[in-house]
Amino acid sequence: MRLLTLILIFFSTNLMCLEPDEILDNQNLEKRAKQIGQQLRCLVCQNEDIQNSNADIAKDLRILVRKLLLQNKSDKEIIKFVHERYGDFVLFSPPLRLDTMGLWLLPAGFFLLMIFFFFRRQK
Amino acid sequence: MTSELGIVFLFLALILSSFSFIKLNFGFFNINFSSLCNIKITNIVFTLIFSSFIILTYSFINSDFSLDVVVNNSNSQLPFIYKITGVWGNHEGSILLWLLVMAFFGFIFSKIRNINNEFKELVLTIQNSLIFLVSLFIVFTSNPFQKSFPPKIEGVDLNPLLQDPGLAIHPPFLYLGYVGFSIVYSISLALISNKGNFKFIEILKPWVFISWTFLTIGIGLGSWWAYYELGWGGFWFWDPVENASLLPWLTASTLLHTILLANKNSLFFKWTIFLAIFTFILSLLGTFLVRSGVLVSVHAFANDPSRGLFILFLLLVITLFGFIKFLKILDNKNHKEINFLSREGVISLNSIFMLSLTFTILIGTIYPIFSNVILDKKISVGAPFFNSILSPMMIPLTIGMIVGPFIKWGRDDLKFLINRIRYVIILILISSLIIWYLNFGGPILSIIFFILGGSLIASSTYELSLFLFSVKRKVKLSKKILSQILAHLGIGILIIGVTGSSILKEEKIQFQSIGEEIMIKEFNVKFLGVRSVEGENYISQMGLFDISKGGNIIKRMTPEKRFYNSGKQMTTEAAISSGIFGDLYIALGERSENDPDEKKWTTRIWYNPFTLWIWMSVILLALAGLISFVRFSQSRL
Repeated sequence: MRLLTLILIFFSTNLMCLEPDEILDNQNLEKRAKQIGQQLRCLVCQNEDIQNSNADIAKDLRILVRKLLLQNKSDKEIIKFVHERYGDFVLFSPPLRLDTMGLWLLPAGFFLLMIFFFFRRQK
Repeated sequence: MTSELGIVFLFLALILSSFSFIKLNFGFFNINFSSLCNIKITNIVFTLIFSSFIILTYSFINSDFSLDVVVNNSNSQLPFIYKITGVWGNHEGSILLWLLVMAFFGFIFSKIRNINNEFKELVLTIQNSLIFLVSLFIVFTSNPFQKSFPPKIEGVDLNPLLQDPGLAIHPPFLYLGYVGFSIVYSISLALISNKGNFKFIEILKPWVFISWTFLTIGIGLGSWWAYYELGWGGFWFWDPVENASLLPWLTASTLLHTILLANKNSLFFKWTIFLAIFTFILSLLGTFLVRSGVLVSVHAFANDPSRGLFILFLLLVITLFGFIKFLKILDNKNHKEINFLSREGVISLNSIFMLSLTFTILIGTIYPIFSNVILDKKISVGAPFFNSILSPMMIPLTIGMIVGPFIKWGRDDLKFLINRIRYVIILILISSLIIWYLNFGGPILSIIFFILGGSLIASSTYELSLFLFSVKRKVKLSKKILSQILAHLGIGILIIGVTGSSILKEEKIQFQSIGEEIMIKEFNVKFLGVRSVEGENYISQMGLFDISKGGNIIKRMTPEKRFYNSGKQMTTEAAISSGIFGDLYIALGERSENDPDEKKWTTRIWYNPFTLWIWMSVILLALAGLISFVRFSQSRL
């Protein structure tokens, strides 16, 4: 079942990801860069974050994130910056808005329904 | 010439199974149809589909390049074993395998002696109807015996990523799991028509457990393969395709618990039937998501919608049929009330959390498609979303697994319960302290999950010891208890493995010169150089690394990059040295372009703590499933 995706991953990228010359000397910053990178989607790939993608745009984004980190921006500011530039598609966890409400409300509603089903009082 | 026979056999299977389909639908509208021997149909249909599959396999082995699928997925140079596995390494062949498994389950079911003949007929009518629908799909949209025009003299090749033993056996296991639930679906619908006779639920049990076992192994194999073949040491990516296999696994795991109560409480009977139907629908949904191309992009789906629409149609028919039938037993009659603090209560809570988890993953997987098509907004839902849902959900689920087995049926008392599990509480406190001490300074999330996993292992071991070292020898270790303990133990081990290898992973990515040593954990990784090696149908660059620990060389590791002769594609073969505390994982990258001496290569070295525990847990879970399968297949009606 996973074959199709994997074949596509294979063709769209060349398997390898972060290059050694991109890595920051400051280990703390690099750690934060990695965490931010895992939140951001490689826009041309299927379900890959920028950290693990070899696509050019992912590389650009990795470098951008590291540049912003060196400018002492906070994680939130960096994600906001990338979000404003590249749109919702770049975020792996969508912002809570009217049109994404279903993503949170449906599961919550389902949860309550299930509790009612099992534990309602019998007449 | 033989390949023509393949499609003829499929046609015959289609026509024969259509009789069952017609009968089923007349029955559905309460029109009595003359008696038709579905058992015979099942046997002949299975023989036909099996022969057709053998013919396709034969065409692959013989490199019959007059067939499209063989041209696109094989090559005369391909090693023999991959010629065979190439049969299901493509859309058409894999759907034929799917159909074969479906017919196989029907065939085995028809051979069981001690089932009431009328009931058997009913089940097989439904199973044959499913076979009819899938063969319709194959014959009209996915014919594996499509002729290649003009005929070719050489094949393109099987995707090198698929030329691997792990992936060769992954699809058959996954399908045995997925499609095993087709017979579960058929039996459940027959149970409904049988006016909900509680006793007949025994017939359903072995099929649920064996399908779950296959699905567990299938998912485990896929994850293992991704770990060693994709070259960055991940084992689960929350890819929609992976989610598609996880969803039926989650509902089936819930089903394993409720089915044990199905003949005790009418609420659980209904719920079990619902889960049985729903699990197969989720398997189909997964097939739709993967096979229609809708996940890749909505446009890919729109460009060639025939297959996608057909599966969507199958999905709708099977879902509607299942749920309309299900409504028949959904009455408002009173059932026994369930107390929170009882075994029934814990199993209910398990259902609530597991199904909420399933539903959330389902919504997360299909919401982007919905958002794109209906709202015209492109959004992504990926690992951060799923992890943020899964992590908090795992806490009540794990606590349930720890305490649940010690809670009494019917109604329990909190004071007595605490007294009963006092040793478990002490064990948990001790193991928490040890974990806290060992993992001091690690991220808080890893400490929480190590404690949860450790506690579950401790409580399961304690439960096991109660039976093994029972002084009075009053209580025997039954298959039922053993299966439960092994499964919970497996989940505890899985939690440790997943937490370690995802949160505590260490990585070193660098340009490494020949002769240079890199320290990771307690290992010293020395790069000796790269040499060329020739394989059966590829050439590879093999990196040589000597691993030493405390000054002594303990191992040589050889990650490769393989270039396949035919397709001019490349794969990464990581070198992995597994240990109980963690894996050392090395992948070879490119030669550095900026280095005049040509001595520097990009090397990626990871230390993945406890990854081995993930694979151990799969083995334990499969073992637990098998034990229950044996137990229920021995029980007589």
